Amino acid sequence: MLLTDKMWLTLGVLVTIFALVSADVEESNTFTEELLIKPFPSGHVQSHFEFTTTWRNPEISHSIENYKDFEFSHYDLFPRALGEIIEAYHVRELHLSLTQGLWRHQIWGYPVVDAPPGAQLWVWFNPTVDNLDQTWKDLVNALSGLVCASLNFIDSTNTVSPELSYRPQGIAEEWYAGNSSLMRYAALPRENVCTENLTPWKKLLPCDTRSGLAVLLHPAPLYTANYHALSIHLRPSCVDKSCTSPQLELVQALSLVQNPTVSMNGHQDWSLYHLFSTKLISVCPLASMSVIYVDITNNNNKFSLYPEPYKVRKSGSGSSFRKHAVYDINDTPPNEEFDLEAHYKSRHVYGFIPSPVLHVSRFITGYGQEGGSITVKLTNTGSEPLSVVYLEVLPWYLRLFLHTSHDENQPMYVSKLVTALDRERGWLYEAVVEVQGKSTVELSLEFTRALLKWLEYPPDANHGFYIPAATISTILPSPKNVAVNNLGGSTLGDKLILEEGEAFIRIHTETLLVSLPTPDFSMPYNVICLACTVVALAFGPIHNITTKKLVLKKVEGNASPIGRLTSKLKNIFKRGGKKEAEEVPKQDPVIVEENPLFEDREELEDIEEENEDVRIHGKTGNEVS
Amino acid sequence: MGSDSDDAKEKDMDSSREGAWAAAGFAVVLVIVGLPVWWYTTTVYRAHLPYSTIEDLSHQLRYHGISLSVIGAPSYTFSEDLEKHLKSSRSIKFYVTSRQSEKNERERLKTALSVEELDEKMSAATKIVTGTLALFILPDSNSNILDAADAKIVVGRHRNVYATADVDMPTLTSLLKNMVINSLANKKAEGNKVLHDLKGSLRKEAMRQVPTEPGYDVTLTLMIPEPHFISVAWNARKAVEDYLKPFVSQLESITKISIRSQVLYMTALSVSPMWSSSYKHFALPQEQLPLTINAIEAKLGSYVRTRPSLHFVVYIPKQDQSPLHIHKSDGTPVEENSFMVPRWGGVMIHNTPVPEANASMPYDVELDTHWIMATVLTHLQKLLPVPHIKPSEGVLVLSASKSCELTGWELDGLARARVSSYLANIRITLQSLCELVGEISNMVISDEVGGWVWGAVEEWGECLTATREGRLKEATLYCSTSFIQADAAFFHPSMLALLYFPDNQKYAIYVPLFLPVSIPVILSLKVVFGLYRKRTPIKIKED
Repeated sequence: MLLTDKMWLTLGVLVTIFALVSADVEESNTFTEELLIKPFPSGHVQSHFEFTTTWRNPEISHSIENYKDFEFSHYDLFPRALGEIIEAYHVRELHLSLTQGLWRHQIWGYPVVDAPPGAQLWVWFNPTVDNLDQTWKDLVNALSGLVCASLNFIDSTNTVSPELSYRPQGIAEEWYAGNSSLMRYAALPRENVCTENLTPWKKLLPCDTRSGLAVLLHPAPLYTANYHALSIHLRPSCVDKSCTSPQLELVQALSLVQNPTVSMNGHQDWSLYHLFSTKLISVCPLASMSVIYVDITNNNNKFSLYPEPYKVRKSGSGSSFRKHAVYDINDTPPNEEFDLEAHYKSRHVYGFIPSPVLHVSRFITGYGQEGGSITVKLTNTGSEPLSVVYLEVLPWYLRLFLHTSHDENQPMYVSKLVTALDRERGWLYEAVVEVQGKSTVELSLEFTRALLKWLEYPPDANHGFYIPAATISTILPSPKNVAVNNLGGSTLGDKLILEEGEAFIRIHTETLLVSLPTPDFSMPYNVICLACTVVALAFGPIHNITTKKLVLKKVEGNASPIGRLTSKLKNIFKRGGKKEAEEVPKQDPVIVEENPLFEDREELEDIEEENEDVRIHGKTGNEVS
Repeated sequence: MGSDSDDAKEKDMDSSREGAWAAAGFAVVLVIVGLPVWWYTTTVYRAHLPYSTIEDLSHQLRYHGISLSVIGAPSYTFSEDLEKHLKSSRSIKFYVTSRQSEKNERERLKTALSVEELDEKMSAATKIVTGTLALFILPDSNSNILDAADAKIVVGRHRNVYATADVDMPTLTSLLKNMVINSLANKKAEGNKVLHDLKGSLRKEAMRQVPTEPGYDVTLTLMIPEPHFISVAWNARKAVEDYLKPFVSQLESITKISIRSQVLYMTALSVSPMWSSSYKHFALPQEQLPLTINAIEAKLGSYVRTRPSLHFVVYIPKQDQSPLHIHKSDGTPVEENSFMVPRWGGVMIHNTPVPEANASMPYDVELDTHWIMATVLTHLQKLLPVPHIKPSEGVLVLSASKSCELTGWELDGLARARVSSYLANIRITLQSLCELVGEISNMVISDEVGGWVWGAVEEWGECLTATREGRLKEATLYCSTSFIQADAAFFHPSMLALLYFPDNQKYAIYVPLFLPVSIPVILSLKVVFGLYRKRTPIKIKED
């Protein structure tokens, strides 16, 4: 096997061991705000906001170093609403993203932070936690209150603890980073993101939206974008490169991809005002840094920026070469509106965009309502082979067939597999796949669909069931197409300076929509009605047969229609004077008793009547018998 | 024809008897099998609850027993007189014991030079336990200490009261009653009706007190609406350590208080003050105060804690609104420049010096920690039902040695008020639970809820006894556990599980099933009874 465990331990983990110099740590809070604008060759423009709050004091250092729960009592820039959740639920690291739309890796490259459509939450807990499942449940509920999202739909059926894909991103020692039982991952692909999530997210910022870059976050342009991702990342990180003391870092990121080319008459022209419907008015007085970066690596005189960049920062070489125009908002003249514009010389030319080294597509195959297959295509356009971790989290109502998932010729192994339990646990399928250079690997997971109980269907069941995105993590040989590859820095500016050599990426595939066999939901009522009718129909005759005896009656044929009519009338008259009527049967009770169990009294009386008539007639007319 | 018809009759009788048996059989099966199955499948599970005990306990007398030892009473009639005067109250019962002062006490009395020294020495000599009081009657030879302090009665820092022998008895007794429990809290515990009968200001004061719960979250919020002009250096950690920690640790056995602090930037109170040229400051009329906190409520909530929270806000006014002062309705400024929000907390307006014209922004500002924390403490003590003695002539009340602490008798009074309130709450909770269960037939009582209720009732009984016997510490403990359990039972989510299952749905399911089956059975029963009745006259006739 190509892959050793050792290699995967470093997967995405920042620094595993840090040299501890127990220096006196002073209380310090910093807040920075940054914006990266990057035009894509597809005509789209990405804007990535990052608001970073760091917090350092002796208690926090102690908690981070000893894997203890945080205890915050005096909040300054750090939001108290989130801080209370973190300390109450033993959180060490937390990553939450709410996304609308799909990041198209093939034409946009790799983002700063990748997020699958819908909601995604992964959390590393401290080893102090007693009942992790309960804590996770409580945490999820508290968070759904905090960000107004339906995270409370996260339960044991969609929660997993993958081994390799979601290693801690902050400071962690090897024993901790390898203990996946302390982490929980869940995704809700159906979750919609809207203003109701943005407002509480903005409330966590120390300047709120009253000043600084957050002023640009008007809901209307945000939610008409092609891609929109809101996220909260909390991790213990290093204060400096040498990592002598730890700090707590909260990154609130918002990523947008918009398409100004359509509205700008074929030019990819953009400006802050055009993208966000507002200009920058003021700087957040609490931010130690307010910077806008514009990626001009691939500019080649295609567009010019106005105002001229205050500074152009070049970094790296070869595939890690990046060129950014830097605008420090603090350097702008105060009390003046700031707008940043890009003017293109010519109309945008849509052409072939070379794919990044690794790209993935995933889809459902099969037809009908019984079986199907989830197929994932991993394409490596580079020349070197890649080892890819493929994580699939599936609901229990897809019943997987694992024997067909392994291709004999395919170098791969399953690093973690958790089989589903109906209504209790979902599938976790995590495999390490070797993708040779310039080749495509196709994996497929066959499944059949389970029948759900009628109460388990969501509203609008015919819409189908969303299957969460798969996670693909790998280490690329070079930082080509990569936005960030070093996790050491706390600010976006630091992260944008790429390191030479290997680059870790974690990307997500498309979510899928599977339609399960859906019953007619009026069925239970129909069943009740039908069953009751059958019971009623069956019971009536059975009851009649068992309790009544059919007696053959002689019917005298000579009774004329008039005679019948008079007897009927007599009958009515007799009902009026009941006492008279009762005397008659007393004289001859046998006749009445002949058929005592007639249900209908009236019928009984009719028969009595008839008998009487017969007797009278017999006496008068038919004396022979 | 006669014998023939008799045979036929006989035959018919047999067969009809058979039919009757069958009909009866249907009915029997329906009753023996059908009914139990129906009952078993549709009945709402209910654990057995102690209804009668709850009824008994809620009618039991609730009063606080307090043992008061009178030391060095000049005569037997003195303590008897005192007891007589103390008897009038319904919710407090004093157990007065009397003894002569001991030798070492007398010696200490002689050496004391001031009231403070006297109190210190006497409380060291005689240990007075929690929940009790001691009244020292100073002999005439020593009364000059009190005379020097210009007082007839001195209330000590712990649980001692000093008085001279010629003290005015009604003054002494009303003082003792006020020391023992906050009269408003006591009234509150008696129920809402009593509260509504209270007069304006008293009622306001009673409503201000926070609901009694086992713990509180206190949040100190510093609001800086313009951080670009002002940079505030305030060590909240130290302020809390110095001022609030002693108070909180003192209350540890009574209630748990956790304290957080936070800074809110760029957020202002929604006020529109007016410039008052006569006072040269901005005037914030009292009428505006109720609206001020609405703007910040959204930033103060917690997503984790469910305990009642108390907020204390330190507000630094905006530059174009400072200095800012609260004005009373008659137009004069409020001296403290702070206000309380009932059951919520308090807001302090902290004005900062105006910077010089060419000072660099933001300029540093120091906050007056002492003023802030003293105000917070005063507000906190007012929000909690701490007993309060109105200043009157001839009475000297020694305050605690540290200004942020409570005296012994204040602590006891607070504990008593909380016990009263707990008792009232437990009674109301359990009674309404019983009522609800009686009224709503769909309410499920799971074994867990039953367990909570049984536990609550048991602890409640213990608490009542402990309260009457004056064991304050135990009463607090029993009552708070009982309160928690009663609440847990009342608010248990399983109680609501079937609450919204409407009756018409039930009938929609039962009617199609039961109607076609039960109608023939019932009708045939009628005939069976008819047959049974008619068989008797036949026999008579044949005889």
